[in-house]
Amino acid sequence: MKLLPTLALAAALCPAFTVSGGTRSASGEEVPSPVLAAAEQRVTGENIPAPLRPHFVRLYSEGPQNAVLHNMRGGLAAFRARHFELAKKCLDDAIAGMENLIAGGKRAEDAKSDFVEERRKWFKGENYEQSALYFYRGLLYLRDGDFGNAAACFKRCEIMDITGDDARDFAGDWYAGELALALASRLNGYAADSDAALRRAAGFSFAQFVQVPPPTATTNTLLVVETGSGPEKYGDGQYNEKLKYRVKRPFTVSVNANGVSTSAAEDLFFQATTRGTRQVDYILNSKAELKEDLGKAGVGLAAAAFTAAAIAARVDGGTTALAVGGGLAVASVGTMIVSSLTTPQADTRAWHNLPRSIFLLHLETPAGTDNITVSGLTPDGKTTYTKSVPLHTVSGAGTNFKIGFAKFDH
Amino acid sequence: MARTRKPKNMKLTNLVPLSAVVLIGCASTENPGVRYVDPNAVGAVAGTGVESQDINAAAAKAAQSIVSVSAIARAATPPTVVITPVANRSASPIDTTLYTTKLRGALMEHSAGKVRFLARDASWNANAAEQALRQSGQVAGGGTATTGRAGATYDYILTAELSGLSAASSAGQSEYFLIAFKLVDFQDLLVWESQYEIKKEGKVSAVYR
Repeated sequence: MKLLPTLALAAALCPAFTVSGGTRSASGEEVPSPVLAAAEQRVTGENIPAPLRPHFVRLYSEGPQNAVLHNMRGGLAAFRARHFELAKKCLDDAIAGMENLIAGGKRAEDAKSDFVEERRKWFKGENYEQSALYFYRGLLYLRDGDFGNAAACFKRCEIMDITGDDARDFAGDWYAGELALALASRLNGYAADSDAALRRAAGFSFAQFVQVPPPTATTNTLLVVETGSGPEKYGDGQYNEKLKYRVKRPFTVSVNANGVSTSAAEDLFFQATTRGTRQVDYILNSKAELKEDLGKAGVGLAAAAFTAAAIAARVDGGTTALAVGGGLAVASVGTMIVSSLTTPQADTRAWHNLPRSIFLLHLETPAGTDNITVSGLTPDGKTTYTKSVPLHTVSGAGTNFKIGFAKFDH
Repeated sequence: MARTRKPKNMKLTNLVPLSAVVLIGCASTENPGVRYVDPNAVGAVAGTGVESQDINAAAAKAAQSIVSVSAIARAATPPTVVITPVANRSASPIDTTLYTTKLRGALMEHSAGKVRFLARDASWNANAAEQALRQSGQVAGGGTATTGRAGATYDYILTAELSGLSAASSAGQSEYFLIAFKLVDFQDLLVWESQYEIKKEGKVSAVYR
């Protein structure tokens, strides 16, 4: 019987065949209980702060295929909780994993297979996530007074903003990246680099829709305000093969502090949705077409099997028709099984705690200022949030630079 | 004639243990392990950024070149050099402290006593604190407690700057790095310059593009 080898082959090719009620990783694989227990023990042993522990349990238990994802999530959570050393380690590990061109290569090749889901590949993020990774790492270098590496990260933020050929105008157009580069370059003593970054930013299409006071020679304080929830990935199309994004409408459209008001310097939904067509989209479309073709072929074979069976019932001695009908039925079932095992679903793993918008307030504050009040405003001027934000003074020769971070949920 | 056994038809239930074996195999990840690797060799983590072997090679080249500079080779007494932290103007974040340390180590190794290096970053605070203890009598006196401690000064500043050009597209990425070393005297005259270039290209799988 040919059906059984087909099933065995399918089981071998498709790890999703596993039946289990246990914990699943972001890439859909079962996490064995001992592995989970060891991860929880490790998190306790490392004294990871309680609110951050879920990220680290997943980081330590879900394998290298999800390490970049959980380092991104855990790093940003640590950043907001002001555990900056932990945040730096996570983001550095995420960068190392993301930039590694070799590791995960086998899974990447496997993911091209018609029978392996895209989410089985090692997660390295979409381009907006890769740019955001460098952007946040750059902010942490700024906080450390390491302006050279901060500038390097903001440059990298633009480089990672790769687009498809159908969206070339949106490549390397992180407005917040250029503004932050301008500030870091000026603080590092390279005024010409700073001016060049501001000129590039002014040429972005995004610049037409925003009013963000840029850093100047007298800027000595940067306030970074994140608002809302970042792009949510979902699979669209007949088989969820098309990666799409949705996002909640933001309440806060401007922020102000010390009499300076600004609109968002970056919109991550805009960045996610101006990526253009990816190479992997062609692979997923091909898988979807195969799945559809096999499904139609299975239905056709089933119909032919019924016809043959009907002929066999009417014709005296129709054993040949019955045999043909049986063969067609088996072929139909086999084809439909293979169709069902074809996996065109897009990988929707996401850096889910990214914000929708990033605001950059470039301020001039008196010496000794150690906190600042920042407010968010709706389009009609109503206050959404007011927060007192602690400022960190960057130590280092010749600098009097202060930086603060705030997050508004909407 | 040997009898051949007719294979039995496989039942669906027979697939369960087979599937379990297959699936356990699928669920396993790479074996953990640790091994020594040559720091000058291309490591398992190979990206297009600057890696340890690049720094080793650049520092060794600079060290071999600097000792042949006439101001150093013909000096009556070995001149003192202070190494400033590596400046990063590239588009790749780097561990500047590590690079500076590596550079100094390579220079020490290759300069064969023809150059002395100032290491205030390593010793200034400790020496100043010890001098204060000596002067206060909390530790044995003598030495510089009576004569006063005068830290050494330098004859030359050695700078290293990493700059680069980076490009990336859906076809792949390319990185060019230039590590420029400069030896500058106390009158701001450029005595020596050496450059080391690195170019790398990389491409990720189509599922990431």
